Amino acid sequence: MNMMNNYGQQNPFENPMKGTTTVALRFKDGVVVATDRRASAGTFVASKRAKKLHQLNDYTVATIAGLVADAQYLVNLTKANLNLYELNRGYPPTTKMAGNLLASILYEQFRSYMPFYVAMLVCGLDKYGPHVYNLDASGAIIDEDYASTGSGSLFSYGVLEAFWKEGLTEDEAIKLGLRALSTSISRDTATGNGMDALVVNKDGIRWLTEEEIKKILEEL
Amino acid sequence: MLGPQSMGYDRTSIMYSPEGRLIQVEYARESVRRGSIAVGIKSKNGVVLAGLLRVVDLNEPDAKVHKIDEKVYATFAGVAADGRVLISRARLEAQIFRMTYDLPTDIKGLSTKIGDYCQLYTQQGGVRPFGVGLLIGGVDDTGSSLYYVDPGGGVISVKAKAIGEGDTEAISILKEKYKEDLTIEEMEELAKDVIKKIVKDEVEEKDIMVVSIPLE
Repeated sequence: MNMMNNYGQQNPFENPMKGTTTVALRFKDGVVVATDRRASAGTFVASKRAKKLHQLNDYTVATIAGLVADAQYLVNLTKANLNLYELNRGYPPTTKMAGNLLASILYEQFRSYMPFYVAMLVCGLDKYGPHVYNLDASGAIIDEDYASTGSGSLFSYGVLEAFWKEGLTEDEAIKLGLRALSTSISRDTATGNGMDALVVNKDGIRWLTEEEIKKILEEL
Repeated sequence: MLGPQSMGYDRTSIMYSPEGRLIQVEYARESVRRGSIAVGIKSKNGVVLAGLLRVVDLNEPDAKVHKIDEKVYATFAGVAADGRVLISRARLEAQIFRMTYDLPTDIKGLSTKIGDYCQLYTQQGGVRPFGVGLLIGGVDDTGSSLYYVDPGGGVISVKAKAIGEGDTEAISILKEKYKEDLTIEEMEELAKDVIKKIVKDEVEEKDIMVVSIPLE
């Protein structure tokens, strides 16, 4: 059931993309992205090791929330298009291009009356700087300082709203990202089973290890 | 142009001559022979593709060996515009394979897809066959693979192959020097030697493009 308001737009908070929390935030020289691992079907935990954080290329990642099939297909389609771009030209597309490519795919489908049921974040670092693009099912795309999607997003937004500021260091950003996600894991029933997290900086993508995440969470 | 016996049977690619030949396709093979030379060699250690860059006037040299996927490359001889189209097609097929199976493409399958595409242009009306021969090489789950796709759509697995101007002489050198256990370095040297020998003018090292795909 999708609630539409008078302007025909979906209110993401009346009916959020189900069972997930994803968090992304910008810092001085990059972005931090974290997702939980629970896939839910109503009150049932459908998977305890769902992969919601995907690498699109060397400097761009995407998170998924919503209908898993749609989201996985969109990740594959975007990856294929980014690979073709790089193969045909010899240089890679920017994060900005990756985000806008996905937004055009979403918009086209939305205007064909059968939208992809997803909320995605496309994040990364390119020559224009760090980006956190928030994309919805209508094809809207907004470059944010920080963003969160999924059923637990309101809890994470609370933490991000209180503590995010311009000019965070990488370590501070990692801590804030994990703190925002762990709040949703604590308070949202459809979020849980551990987390995947990574940092994109000028050296590329670095996945946080299980031990690293554990250590940071203990220190919070 | 052919003599009186075959007169008229070389006007369209879909028309057989009375002897059962597709004469337009034979002409297309001629345009491959006018292209600058491309060499492919495979051994149990991997695959090497090499080609001669023909640079005219102040034009910037284009690549002679093209990346298709992580461990798949291709080189062609013949009409450059036709080659470009086939290279794009091969890249697209490789990505479609990845989307469908979540795996890198096998080289036999990819070469067959490109062969199928070339074959259409020998049977459909109002088109001409591709004027290029394509060497597709790389490593996949089956090991080292090297395929030759010809303008008629034929797909042949080859140990070593040369296409383009001087191919006959080049192939006879390859036949003489080829061994199943050549190392990547030996294959690189052999490919460069072949190209240097058949090009009568001095060739500089920078005029030869070499790409090696080792089997790990």
